[in-house]
Amino acid sequence: MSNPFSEQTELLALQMLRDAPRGMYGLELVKNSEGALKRGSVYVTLGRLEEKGYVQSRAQADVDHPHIPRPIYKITGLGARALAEAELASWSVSEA
Amino acid sequence: MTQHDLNNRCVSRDTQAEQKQTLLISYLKLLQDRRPESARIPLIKLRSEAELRAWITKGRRRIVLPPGATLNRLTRFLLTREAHCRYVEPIICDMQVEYCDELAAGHIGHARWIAIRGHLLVLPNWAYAWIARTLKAMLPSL
Repeated sequence: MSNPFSEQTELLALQMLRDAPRGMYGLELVKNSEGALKRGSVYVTLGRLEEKGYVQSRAQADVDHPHIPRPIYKITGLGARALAEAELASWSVSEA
Repeated sequence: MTQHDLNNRCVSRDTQAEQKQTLLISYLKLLQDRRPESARIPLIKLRSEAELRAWITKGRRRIVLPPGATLNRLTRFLLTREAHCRYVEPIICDMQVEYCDELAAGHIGHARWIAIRGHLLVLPNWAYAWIARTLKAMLPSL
């Protein structure tokens, strides 16, 4: 299977979401990526992943800011499978 | 994203006024809880939300909108609901959260910088959403 991710940022965002079962806010992704994901483009990346069905978002206000419904992003089963296959493919290429 | 999700995320215009007041109440509560001395709330003990609501609406007090409220209305008018909810609204929400945190910590200068940066960050996302919408209109198979 070819790599379904058009950019490394998509792969990185999906990897971070996989490691966070409760989901993550866009800003958390930016802060945890140590500069790999930018504030200006993280939602474009997440939007693309959402269009592909790899992540789903849900407006959820956090405890500190109850009236600001920020979307929280979670990886879907399809996204987890696509990520696993992409990682397997890259591992196979590097081993060869 | 289903239509139901979009409906949940994009509030109707009818409830906007009520939401503004509710948002302001949450800001004031947060400010008072975290840093009472910098909250610039009159020196009254606000024991309940009703009391706070009464203080806001009393006399000719001006309700200050959070940063990005006007931009949110503008982009909601100019963009499709999906593009607005997916690309623009989350940035505005993040900006408001960061702005609120900085203000509560007493960093007024940094809070202003966050508001300016947030408005600037919306532009590339707005452009992306607009281009995506145009391409989808021209090429429905995309």
